[in-house]
Amino acid sequence: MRTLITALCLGLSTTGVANDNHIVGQIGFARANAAADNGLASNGNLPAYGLRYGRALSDNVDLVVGVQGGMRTATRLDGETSDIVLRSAYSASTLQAGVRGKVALTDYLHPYAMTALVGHVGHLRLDDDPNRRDHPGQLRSTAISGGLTARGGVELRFRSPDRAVVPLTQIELGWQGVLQHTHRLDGEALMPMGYSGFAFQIAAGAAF
Amino acid sequence: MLRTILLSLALSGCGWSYGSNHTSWGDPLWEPTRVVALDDAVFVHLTHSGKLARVTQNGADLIALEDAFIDVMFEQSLGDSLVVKAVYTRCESDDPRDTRGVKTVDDCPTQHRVERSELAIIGADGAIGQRIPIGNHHNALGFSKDGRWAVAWFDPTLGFDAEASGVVDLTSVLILDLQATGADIATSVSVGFGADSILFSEDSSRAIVLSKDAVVTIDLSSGTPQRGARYSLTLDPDQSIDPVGVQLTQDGAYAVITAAGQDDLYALRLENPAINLVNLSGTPSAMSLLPDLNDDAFVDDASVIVHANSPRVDFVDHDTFDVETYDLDEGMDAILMSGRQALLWSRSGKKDVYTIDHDTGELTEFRLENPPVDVQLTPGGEFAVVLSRPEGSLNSDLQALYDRSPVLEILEVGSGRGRSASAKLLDGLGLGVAFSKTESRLDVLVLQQDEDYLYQLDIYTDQATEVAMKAPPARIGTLPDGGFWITHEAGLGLVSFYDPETGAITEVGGFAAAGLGIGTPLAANTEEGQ
Repeated sequence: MRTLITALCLGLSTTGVANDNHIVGQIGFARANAAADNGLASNGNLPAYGLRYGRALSDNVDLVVGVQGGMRTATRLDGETSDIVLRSAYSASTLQAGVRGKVALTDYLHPYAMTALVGHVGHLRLDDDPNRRDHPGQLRSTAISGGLTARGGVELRFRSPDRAVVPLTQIELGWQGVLQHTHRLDGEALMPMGYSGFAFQIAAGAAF
Repeated sequence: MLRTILLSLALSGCGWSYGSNHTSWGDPLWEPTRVVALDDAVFVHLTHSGKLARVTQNGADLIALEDAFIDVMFEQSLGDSLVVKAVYTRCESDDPRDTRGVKTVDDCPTQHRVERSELAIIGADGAIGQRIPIGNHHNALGFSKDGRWAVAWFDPTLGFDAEASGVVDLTSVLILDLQATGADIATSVSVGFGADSILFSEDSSRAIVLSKDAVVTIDLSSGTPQRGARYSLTLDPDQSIDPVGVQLTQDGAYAVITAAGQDDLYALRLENPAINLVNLSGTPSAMSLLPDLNDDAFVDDASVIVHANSPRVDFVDHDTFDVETYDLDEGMDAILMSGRQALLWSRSGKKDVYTIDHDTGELTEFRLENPPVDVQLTPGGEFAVVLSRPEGSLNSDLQALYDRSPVLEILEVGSGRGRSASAKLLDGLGLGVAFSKTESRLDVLVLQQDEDYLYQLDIYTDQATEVAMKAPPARIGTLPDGGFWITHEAGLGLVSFYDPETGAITEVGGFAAAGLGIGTPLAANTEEGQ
C-alpha cells in the first residue's frame, strides 16, 4: 500500500504529458484450485478487488503497481450428523508490481498486455464456535508466498486525450500463479495453498 | 458501452460470490468420546490427520508415526502406555503412469494401494515404543494382566475398511509377546471362526478364546503360545454361540460361559478338559463375577446372572456349581458389583433397581422415577448414581414433572433401606458421571447432553453448583491428582481440566486442526515398507 501511495504521489506531482498516469479500481477473481481442495471454496475461485496505479514510462509502456484483497468463508459439516465441525475464513492480500505494454489504436481504444510479480499474504482463520468470542477453538495462521501474473486486456477511454482527466474502463484476463506455501499452527502443517490458473478482472478509473 | 459492462459483470458473476459461505462435508477431526488417560495426560485420536494428541494442562503435543496413519487408538491401556494401530500405504503399479504425480494416499487410485499395519506402543510421556507388525484385518486387541501378552483378532462388529492384502485367515488370532523381539514376537493360533472374546488367567499363563462355535485354550506358561484343549459348544454346525458373558473362576480351574438364547451355563474344566452344563432359570442377559474377597473356605466366588425376560437372578457357585435363585419383580439386564454386593438394573425401560448381598441373602428393591440409562456406584459403594431418561406424560402433577425430564437420582445402596436419597431434574440427558471423594465431601459431576456446564452435587450435603464450560461436554474422567478431565463436542478439539477443590478450569483447544488440509502421506518405498 505504501508503494502504491508513493507512486501515486510521484505521478500527481509530475507536470509532463497529459494522461501519463492512471488509477483504477478493480474487481475480479483468480482461479485457486487449492482453495477448493481444502474445502474453502466450491468452485476454486478466489475473489480479488483492489486498486492499481500506472505511470507511463514511454508512449507504449507503463509501470503498474497494485494491491488486491479478497476473502472466502466456508463451513465444514460432519458428514454423518451435519453438525458444524468448523467455520473458516481465508483471505488473500496481494501486492503486484510490473509493466504494461499498450497500443493506442484510437484515442479511445487501447489494447494492452501486462506482466507483474505478485507478493501474496494469506490469512487463514478457523473457529469451531463463531458465536463465542473467547474460547480456545479460534485459530489463526498467516503464510507468505510469491508469484507471477500475465494478462491481456482492453482499455476504453471516454474522452479525448487532451482533457486533464479521462474516465476509463478496463477488462482483462490472463493467468496468475502463486507458489506453493503451507499454513502452519504451532509449527504443525495445517493447510497447503498455492495456485495457478485463469484470472479475470474488470476495472474503472481515470487517466490524468 | 453498457453492453460491455453488463457482459463483464455476467462473466465475473460466474467466478466469485463475495458474500457466500461455501459448505462442505467431511469427517470429524477427532473423537471426543474415545479417550485414554495416562498419568496427567489425556490422549485423543485425531481421526482426520491420523495422529494422536497428548493433552495436559500445559498444552497439547501431537504424536505422529512418520508416514503412517494412526487408524485405531485402543481404549484398553497397557498400564502406563497405550496401543495404536498404524497403517502404512504405498502406491504401486507396473505402469508408472498410474502413480505419476501421486503424493498422498488420496491421490493414489484404490486398486494401486498396498497397505500394511502395525501396532505401536505409546508411553504416557508420548514416547513411541515397540512397533509390531500385524494383519490389516486385525481390529481388536486384548492384554494379559501382567502386560506381557496381547492378542489381536478380527472383530466384524467393529467394522473393517482397511485393504486386506494376501490371504487372510479369519480363524486365527495373533498372540503377541510384548517382551520378545524379532520373529518370536507374534504367533498365529487357529481358534475357529469368528473369535469373539478373549480372557487371560490371573497369572497370565493361559488365554481362553471364545469363537462362534468353540472355546480354545492357549497355554502361555512356556513362553511360546501353544494351542491347548478345544471345547465344542454346539453339535449343530448351523448353530453359533453368541456369548453373554465369559469368565474364569477365581482359582483358574474353570471357564464359565453363558450364551444368548440358551438357558444353560457352560462350565469348562481347563485341566483334564470336560464340559459341565448348569441349568439356569432363564436365558441370560448379563453375567458378572461375585468375587471371593478373602479367598477363605467359607464363601466361594460365583457367577451372577440376570435374565431380561425372567424376573429372577441366579448365583452359580464356582465350587459346587449349585444355583441359588432370587425372585424379583421385573427382569433385569445389567449388573454392577461392589465387593460381595450385586446391584441389578435394566437398560430396557424397567424402573426397578435391586441390591443383593449374597452372603446374607438380603435383597433390597428401589423404584426409580424414570427408566435408567446409566447407573454408577460411588467410590466405596455407599450410593448408586442413576441417570434416567424422560418417558413423557400428559399430566400436570408432580410425577409428570419427573416423567417429562431426564433425572439424576441418588440411591442409598449401602444402607439397605431401599430409598432414594435425592432426585434432581436435569436440563439435558445425562451422558456420564465422575466422582470426587474427600473426608468431608462426596461430589458427583454430571455431564448433560448439549448443556455447556457441569453439574456438581455434594451427595453428603445435597449442595449443588454449576461449573460453566466453553462447550457441551462429551466425556469425563478422573486424574491421579483428584482432578477431572472433560472432553467437549468442539470441532477443533477441546479438553478441560477441572480442579474440584479450587474450582479452577484449564482449557486446551484447537489441537484437532493439525493437518486439516494435509493428505495422508505415502509410506516410504523401503524394505520395511514392503
